[in-house]
Amino acid sequence: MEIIVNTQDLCKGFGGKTVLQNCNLSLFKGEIYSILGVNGAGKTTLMKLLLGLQKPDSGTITVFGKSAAQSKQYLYNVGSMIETPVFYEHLSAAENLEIHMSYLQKSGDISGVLKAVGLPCEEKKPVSKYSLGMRQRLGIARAIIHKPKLLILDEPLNGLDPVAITEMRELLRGLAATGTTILLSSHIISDVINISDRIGVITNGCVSSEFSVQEKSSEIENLDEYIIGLMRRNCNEYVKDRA
Amino acid sequence: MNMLRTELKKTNLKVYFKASFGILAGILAMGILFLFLPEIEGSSPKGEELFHEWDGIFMLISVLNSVSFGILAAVAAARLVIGEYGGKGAAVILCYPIKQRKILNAKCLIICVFITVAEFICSAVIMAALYIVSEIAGAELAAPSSAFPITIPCVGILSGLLSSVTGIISVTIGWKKRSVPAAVVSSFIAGCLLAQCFSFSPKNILPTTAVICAVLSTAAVFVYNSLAKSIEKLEV
Repeated sequence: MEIIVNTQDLCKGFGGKTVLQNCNLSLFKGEIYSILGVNGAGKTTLMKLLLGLQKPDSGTITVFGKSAAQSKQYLYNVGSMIETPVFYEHLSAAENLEIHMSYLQKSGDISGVLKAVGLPCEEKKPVSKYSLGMRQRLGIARAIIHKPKLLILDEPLNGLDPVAITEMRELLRGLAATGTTILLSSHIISDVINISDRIGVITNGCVSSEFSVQEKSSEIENLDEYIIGLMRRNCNEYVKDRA
Repeated sequence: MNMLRTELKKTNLKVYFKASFGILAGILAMGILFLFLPEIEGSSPKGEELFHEWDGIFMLISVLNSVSFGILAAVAAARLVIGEYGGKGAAVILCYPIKQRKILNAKCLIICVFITVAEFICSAVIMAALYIVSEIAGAELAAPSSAFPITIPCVGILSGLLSSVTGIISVTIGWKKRSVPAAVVSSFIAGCLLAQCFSFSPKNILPTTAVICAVLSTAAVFVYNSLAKSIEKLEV
């Protein structure tokens, strides 16, 4: 299988506190990989490192077979949504997407993507009047409009209603089926299980457990509890280590 | 050009048009007051000659314009630069595989052009309005120097550049603190210092403005360079 993202011994700290320590991760083409971990485990930091928003203290990141440190060109093929999506508030959803495409020097089907995420495409309403769920949908639209090969989504299901979550799951599944690799993080374990091909639990600054959802589901009856157990156990070990 | 178009689309210029109109109205009201101040006071004590001649009134109007538009430039620059790179939006803009300096250049160009044009128009409109008012109301002012018709547009443009440059220097100071109010306060302090510089030579407003503009523009080039480098190295 083609490796899209590979990190080797990735380390990152802030003000003397280590967040990621020798973190190794590989993502394969067309898979949906979810990262789970308690708050402050380093999920967002890992995503930011992959997006070039932060520089690693040590270790290497390879995206599409090329070193991320040498060129940012790979970002043309990456879509992302980190934390709460931020927009130009006085502009409409379509205008925000136009600006996004203009920065990427690409053209895209704006009305098509808005329809795909369940937002009205003709509406001129400024984004400042959008609800949290609508903003989240628009954030996903911005991440996917340029048909990226790699999609990095930090808690994309936050603020979405159950219907929207189901729609998003189908949308992401459809994208993965066309060869898009998706890395996402979420705190809603049941949704993560439903959506992902593989799950990685991040603790002690690295991906400490990793498994295929399909294989684990056949082995373990209650996968939710198993994952919480993994996170809790690792979390306890971490607290013990720190003490 | 494409970057400039994108930045223009992002920028809500309506707010700055309204602010410019507000400045124009405020300074025009003060200008009318200056016109009739000698008549209100009844006498002309020493040190108030400024209000008796067109050159003096124009100097006061120019200083007020320069300070007001300097603050407006700082507010606009702070909103465009600190608002974009200092907040959560930085995670979006830094994800684009483009040189951030290009985006910054486009933002600063928009601010400089807008402020310069707005201040030039404001200066010209106020002086024209004051002339009309003085003709109608019969305000008695000493005749201006022969170079006055050339001085007005030249000073208008130079003051506009001066205000833009003040805005860029102020936003760099604000960026160090990641604070919009810090940028605005810096521009206010800079405006007060500029007013002091103008007061040293009120009769020679054109050369004074040109010299101050040249000095501050040189300083702004270095300051802007440090701002751009800081943004290029930014991690969020």
